[in-house]
Amino acid sequence: MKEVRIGLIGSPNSGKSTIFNKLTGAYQIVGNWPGKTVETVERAVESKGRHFLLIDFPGTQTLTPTSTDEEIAMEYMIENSPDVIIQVASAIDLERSIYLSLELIELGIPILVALNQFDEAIKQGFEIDVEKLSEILGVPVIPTVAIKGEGIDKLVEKAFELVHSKSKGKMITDEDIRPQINNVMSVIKGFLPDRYPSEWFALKLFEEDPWVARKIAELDAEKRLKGVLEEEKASIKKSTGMHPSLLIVNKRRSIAERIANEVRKTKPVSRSKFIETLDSLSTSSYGYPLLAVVMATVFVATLGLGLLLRDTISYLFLGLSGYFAFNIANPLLSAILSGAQLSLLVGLSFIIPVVFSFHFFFSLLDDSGYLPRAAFLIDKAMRRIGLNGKAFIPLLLGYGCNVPACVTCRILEGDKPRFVTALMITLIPCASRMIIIYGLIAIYIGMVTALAIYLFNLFVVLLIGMIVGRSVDLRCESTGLVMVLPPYRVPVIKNALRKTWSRAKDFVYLAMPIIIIGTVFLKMLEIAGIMGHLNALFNPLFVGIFGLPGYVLSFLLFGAIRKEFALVFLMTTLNGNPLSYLSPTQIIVFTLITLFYIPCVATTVTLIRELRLRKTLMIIGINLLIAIIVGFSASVILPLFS
Amino acid sequence: MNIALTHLDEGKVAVIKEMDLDNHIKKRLMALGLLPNSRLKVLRIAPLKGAILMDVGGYPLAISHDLAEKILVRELE
Ligand SMILES: Nc1nc2c(ncn2[C@@H]2O[C@H](COP(=O)(O)OP(=O)(O)OP(=O)(O)O)[C@@H](O)[C@H]2O)c(=O)[nH]1
Ligand SMILES: [Mg+2]
Repeated sequence: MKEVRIGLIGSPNSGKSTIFNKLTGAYQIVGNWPGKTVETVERAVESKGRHFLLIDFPGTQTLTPTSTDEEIAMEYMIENSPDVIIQVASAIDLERSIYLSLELIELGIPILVALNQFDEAIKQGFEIDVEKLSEILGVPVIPTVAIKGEGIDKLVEKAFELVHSKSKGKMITDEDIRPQINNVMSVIKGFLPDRYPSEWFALKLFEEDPWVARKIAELDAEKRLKGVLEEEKASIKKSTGMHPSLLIVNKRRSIAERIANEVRKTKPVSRSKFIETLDSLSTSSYGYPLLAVVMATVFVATLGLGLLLRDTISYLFLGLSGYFAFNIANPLLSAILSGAQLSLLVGLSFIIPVVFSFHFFFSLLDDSGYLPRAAFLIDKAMRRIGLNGKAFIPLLLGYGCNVPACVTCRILEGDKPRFVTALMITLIPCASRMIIIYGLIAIYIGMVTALAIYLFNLFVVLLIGMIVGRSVDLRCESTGLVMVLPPYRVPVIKNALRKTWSRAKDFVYLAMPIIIIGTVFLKMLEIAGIMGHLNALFNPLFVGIFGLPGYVLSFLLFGAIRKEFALVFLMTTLNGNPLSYLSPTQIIVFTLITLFYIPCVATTVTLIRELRLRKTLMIIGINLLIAIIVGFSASVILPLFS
Repeated sequence: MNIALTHLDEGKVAVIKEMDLDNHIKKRLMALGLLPNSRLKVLRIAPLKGAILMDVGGYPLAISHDLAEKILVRELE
C-alpha cells in the first residue's frame, strides 16, 4: 500500500514545526517570528504503530501567495498533494485561522484543524467552542498545545480516519457566484489535467491568483479561457457592484469573522504587566536605543564570554597536552603531530566559545518574539533603501550564518528586494567572521575596536544597500511591510540549547576535521619550502595595495572555504602569536578584508540556487571591490591615527 | 470626514472607508482583516513617519507608512 502523506499547513508561526519535531524527532528550526521554515521537508514517522510521511510546510497566511516561501508551499501542496492536510491554526488568531481553513476546504483535500497554542488562548481569556467550530466548518477540530505535545496523538488518529473516509468540509465562500464558477469550470475541465482540482482553479481564477494564472499560462490555455472568464467576471461585477477578486476575499473574511465570533467568548483577564510594558516599550521610540543595547549586549556578551571561556579551555588543553608531549625525531611526523595539536587548540579556544555563545544568546532573542518588533521599528529605515522591515529578519540572521539568512530571503516579496537583501547579507559578519573579529581584534587590539568594526561594517552594509538599491530601481518593485506580530513568549533554555546545537554543530563536525587536515597540509608546504615561493609571488601585490605580507593570501584562500579558516590558519602558521609577525594596523586591515572579500563556498552555492549564477557573480564582484577599497583605505588611513 | 490612517493618533479607533491600493496588495490586507467598514485601533506609530502597528480583530498587524497613507478611515469617538 502507498504510504499515507500528511501535510502540516498553516499561517506563519502557528506551530507547524513544533508538531513536526514532536512527531518525527527531527529538528526543524522553531522560533518566535514568522518565516522560519522556507522549504518543504518530508520525514517518515512511526507513531503508535502507524506509519506515514509527515510534511512540514512554510507558513502561508493565505493561499494566494505573495512571497517565494508561500509559493513553494502552494506549488508543493498542489503538485504533490498530501492525502490529508492538518491545518495548524493559532487559537489566539482565530479569524485568520478560519480564513485559511475556508481556503483549504475549497481546495478539496481532506483537512482537519489543529487549534494550536490553545494554552495561550485560555490565558488570554478566550473560550472557544471547538465542537461548534467543527460543526460549522464540517471538519474535525482538535485543540492542541504543541510545545507540551498535548493533542498530537489524537491529531494523528483523526488524520488516519480522514484518509479512509475522505470526508471533506463544506465549501461556503462561493454561494453568490456559483453559476459563474460552474461556467468557467466547464471550460477548464476541457484542458486541466485530472490531478488539479478544477473547481478550485475556477474560484482562484476569479480571485486573480497569480500562481493559478501562471499554471494556466503553462498549460497554454489563456486564450481559450479569456473570453468566458472576462464575461463571467463582468456579470459578477454587474450583479454585485464589486470586483470579483475583492468580492471573494471580502466574503471569505466576513464569514471567518462571523464564525469566530460565533464560537468564541472572551472574558476579561489581567495580562502580565511585565510583558505588556516590554511590548509597549519595544515598539515605542525608546525601542531604538533598546535595539542598539540589545544588539550590543549580544555581541559584548558573546565576545566577553568567549574571552572568559578561552582561557579556561586553553588552560585545560595545555594541561592535558602536557601528558602527551611528543619527542619525535622524524621532522615530517613531528610537524604533523604538532600541527594537529595546534589546530585543535585553536579550534577549541577560538571557535567553540564564540560560536556556541553567540548562537545561544541569539536563540534566546529569537524565541522571545523581539525580532518582528524590531522589524516594525526599522521599517522606515528599510523603506529608505527601498526594502521593508521584513528584510531586517534575514539581515539579522546573517550575523549567525549567511546561508540560512540568504534562504530566508524567500519571505520577501519581489526579485529585486531579494537580490539586494542577499547582497547585504553577504557583507554581514556571520559567526565565522565573528571568530576572526574575536581572535584578532578583541584579543589583540581591544573590545572597543571590535565594536567599532561592527559599527563600521553596518555602515558599509547600509551604504551598499542604498547605492545598489538605487541603481536597480528597487522602489518600483518593493511593497510595504505587512506583518502579523506574534506575542512575546518566554524563551525556554532547553529549546534555545537545542537550536544552538543545530546551528553550531557544523563547526564541530565539518570545520574541525578540515582545520586539522589543513593545518597539517600547510605545515608540510612550509617544510617543502612552497610557502616561501608563494610569499615571493604575491608579496608585491599585497604589500603594494594593503601593506600586508603576501602569505596572507593563503589564509584568504582557506577563508573562502569557511571564513573562520582565515583566522585558524593565520594562527597556526604564525604559531599562535600574530603580534610578533604583524603590526596592529596590519591586523585590522586583514580583518576588514576578511569581512568583505567573498561569500564562502556554502553561501555561494546557496546564492546560485536562490538567485542564479549571474546575480551571484555580481554579488561576488561587489564583495571583492568593497574589500579592495576598504582594505586599501584602511591601510592608508589607520597609520595616521596610531 | 475620511482621513488617512496615518493621521490617527495612537490609541484611536477608526472604521476603514477606502483603500486606494492595487488589488494585489488590497486582497492581502483584506484577508488579514482590513475590510471596508471594519474597525481597527492604532497601537503604535513608529517615529518619523514610520510603520503603523494596529489591532485588527484582536491581533496586532504592522504595515508600512506608505501603505497606511492610502487607507482612508473615519475616526470613532
Ligand atoms: N504557548 C504555546 N506556544 C507554542 C505552541 N506551539 C508552538 N508554540 C510557539 O510558537 C512559536 C512558533 O512555532 P513554530 O513551530 O516555529 O511555528 P511554525 O508554524 O513552524 O512557523 P514558521 O515555520 O515560521 O511558519 C514558537 O515560539 C513555539 O514555541 C503552543 O501550543 N503553545
Ligand atoms: Mg516552521
